[in-house]
Amino acid sequence: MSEGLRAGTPGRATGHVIRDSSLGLVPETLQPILDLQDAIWHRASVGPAIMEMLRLRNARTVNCVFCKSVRYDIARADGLTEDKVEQIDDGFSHSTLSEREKLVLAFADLYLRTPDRVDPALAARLRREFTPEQIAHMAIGLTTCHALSRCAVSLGGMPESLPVMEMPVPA
Amino acid sequence: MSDAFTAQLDSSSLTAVLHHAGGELARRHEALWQAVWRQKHVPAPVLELCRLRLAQLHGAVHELEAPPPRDARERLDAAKSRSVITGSWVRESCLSPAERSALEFAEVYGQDPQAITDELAAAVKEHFGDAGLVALIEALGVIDGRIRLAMMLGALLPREENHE
Repeated sequence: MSEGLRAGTPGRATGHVIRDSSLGLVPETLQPILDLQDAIWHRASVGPAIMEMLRLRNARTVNCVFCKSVRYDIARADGLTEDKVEQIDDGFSHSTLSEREKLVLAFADLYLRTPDRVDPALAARLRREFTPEQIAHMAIGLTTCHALSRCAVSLGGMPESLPVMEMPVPA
Repeated sequence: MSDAFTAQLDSSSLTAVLHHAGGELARRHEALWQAVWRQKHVPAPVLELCRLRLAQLHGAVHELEAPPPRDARERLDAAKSRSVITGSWVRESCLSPAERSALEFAEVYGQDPQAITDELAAAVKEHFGDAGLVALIEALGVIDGRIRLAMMLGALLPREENHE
């Protein structure tokens, strides 16, 4: 793993965590990323707690240290406790999470590990539990978190570990 | 599985399915998809070669057969696309050093971003600059994600016409 960041950052600091990162070098995609992030966290039909479960399952699979350390405040306010977060691991199917929450994590694993092999039984359970709008929103939220975490890993400069940090979603 | 649910989609046909179910989120996701193809740091035909390679790595047959995104079509070289699909680009010299640097980066990105080396990143920067490296990484993430969604959402979201 690289010890240094592989790309520079914009010369002028704005105080915005994303605009001041390397992503700020590509203004054509910066605003669409911010607009999409805003919609995912403030407009999704599944709510921030479920979205945060998808984000953290992704973070632990991709092993993005930054993403793993972050807890969005709106997800905690929506009921996602650290006790639940601790259960977002490979043994989640035997955890005390609710069946709906386990289905959310199974959806994440489908995307992250075997998108080419959809188990018909899992597909049927997902379609029973969630509306098409909710499935679409979970898919868009997960794919965005996945792309951004892989982006952070690819750009290098990742520390070995970070403490858990609660923060607002970058606006 | 119900007839209302399709087999695998591709990243183009995915747009309609997502738009029907996803509303404003889908529109914003589509806006990012369009933006990665229109940014000025890495030419769209270079990204198209990467899209084909990522589709191969996923075994996404429908994606390989899909038309290139609109912004990549104009300056596309069919021989180069073929060389990626057949795998001959590795030993032939049909690709420019710039295209090769992007494709070699995509090759590793598609398998494990943790395995990307400083040398791979430096080669991309030599041709496309720092902004080009960032634009390439962003594009690979969005393309890879669209391929994944296209493979799985056909089984989970109904086709538009079945709702009408």
